[in-house]
Amino acid sequence: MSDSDRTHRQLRGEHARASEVTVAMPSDQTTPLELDDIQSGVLRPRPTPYVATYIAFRIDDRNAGRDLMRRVSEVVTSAANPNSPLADTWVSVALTYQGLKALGVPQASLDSFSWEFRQGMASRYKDLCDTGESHPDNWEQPLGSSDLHVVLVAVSPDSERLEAALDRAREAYRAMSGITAIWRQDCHALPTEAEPFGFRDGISHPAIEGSGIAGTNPHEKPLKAGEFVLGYADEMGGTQKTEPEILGRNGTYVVFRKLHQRVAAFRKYVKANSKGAADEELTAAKMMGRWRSGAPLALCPLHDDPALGADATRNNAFLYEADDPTGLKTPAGSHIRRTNPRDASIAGVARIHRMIRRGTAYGPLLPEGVLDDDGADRGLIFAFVGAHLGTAV
Amino acid sequence: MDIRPQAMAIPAETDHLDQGKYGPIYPKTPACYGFSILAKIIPGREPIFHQYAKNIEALVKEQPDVLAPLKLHYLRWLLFPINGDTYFMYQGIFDTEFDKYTEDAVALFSGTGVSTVFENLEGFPKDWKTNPDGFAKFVRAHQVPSFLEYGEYPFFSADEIKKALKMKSAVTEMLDQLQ
Repeated sequence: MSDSDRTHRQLRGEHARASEVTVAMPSDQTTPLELDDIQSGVLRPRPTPYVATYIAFRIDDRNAGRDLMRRVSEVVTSAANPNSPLADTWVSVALTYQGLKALGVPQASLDSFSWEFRQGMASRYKDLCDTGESHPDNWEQPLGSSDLHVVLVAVSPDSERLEAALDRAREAYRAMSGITAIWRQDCHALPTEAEPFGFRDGISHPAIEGSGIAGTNPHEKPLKAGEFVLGYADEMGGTQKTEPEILGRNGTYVVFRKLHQRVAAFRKYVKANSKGAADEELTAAKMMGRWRSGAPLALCPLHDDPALGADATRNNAFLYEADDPTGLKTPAGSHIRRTNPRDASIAGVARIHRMIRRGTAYGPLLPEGVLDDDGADRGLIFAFVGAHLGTAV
Repeated sequence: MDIRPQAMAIPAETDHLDQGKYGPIYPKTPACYGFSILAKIIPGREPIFHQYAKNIEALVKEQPDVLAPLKLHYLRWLLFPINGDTYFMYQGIFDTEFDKYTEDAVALFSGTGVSTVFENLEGFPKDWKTNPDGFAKFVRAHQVPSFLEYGEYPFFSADEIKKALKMKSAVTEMLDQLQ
């Protein structure tokens, strides 16, 4: 897989995950989150199946930009009212640092945002290992450029409801001069309901204190809200704030990456490193930490268990340290263990590195069994949500 | 296997280095990652430093893996006089990049319940437990970069060294049993 394009942005109001550590964290008091001021996409897992559209804008005129934000705020879905018929259909909005500048946010306020957000993802390419083919020079434009100011996201369980949400959003920006839509990406769940490499995704979601939204790992102590939303106490007892506080409160940071996936190359690699079809499945599972069904190696290391994979009450209910400290079942380098080491012994403290991860697939399915690249662009639009960009990435 | 000792001269100028959140990112040297800080202590606090040493000794005895997540090789704490004032020097040698693990170090130390002896240094932020940025900035402001570092077994991590020692012990045991 080759990472290709991305952009940092601050997202006011939208949705992340964690592990146990022997460190006693301060204050067990829970502050309820102001869900009606937090975007639904920040806190609520996306629907499955789904369709999604991302639209990026450049602000050419400051007043038009401010007008856009005012109008968009009226169509953005909050995290409150999870039982409403529209709860699965969100419209969310995010701003880049360049976008905040284009809106005329004063320098003192701009300076109060996190260092990583102010730098932007492209300028941190070395630290993020975005080199070689993944160098920012090779990113799809305008991703990573200073032209990208605002991103609107609409996510819905089906096209009909997505179109309705997009219509509402279009009302907000249609016929506005001084605003230019510069990029669009349509995403959709594949017919297999898996990400392009063929694995069930969207499984792991952290429990967040005060959100009322259940996490997917019953063995995980809920994380302090300040790990995911600005303005609340985090795992260390500190609070991320902006100047003035109201500017960032109930918002968060989102890292947005367009990840091109080389599905044929992945299949060839798995085949070349396995002995027969069953072994191919094991090799793929060892790379992911889960079988394609979503069943975790931690719970069924020797064979797939599709019923377990499909059971949301069980498919993320595990830790590593007691049962598998060295990674004999779930390799330490597998995708799911690297992205969330849970309670395993690692360098650092996992609970301060948690993030909400959310992917939506783009491009056509590469039919099963095809080992030659068809030249089509396919992959994931990936969002990482969290209040501490530096510890998350 | 060739274990070749190496020395690295470290230029005083830092313009060529990548800039991280807390300043220049110093390269890994044959003596691994690390930093040295030098700071004046609040006058009269010397006994607290010595009590702290006993606390840390007891803590590590009780929980030998308490500092494991920091991937340390060695830590050294020194007190010494300059013109009638007492100064403190702290040298850490470890396998993780300073910028990426400062928050973890703060979380880990505040989680042990042991207050850091840095609280007895002039200018140290009192809210360090909830303010890793302030902690990191203090450390950076008092950091004295090395101009030369040397490694007799260069670039090896503490984990690699521990693994090698365990392997040696296991092989020795195996050979004993073969006799």
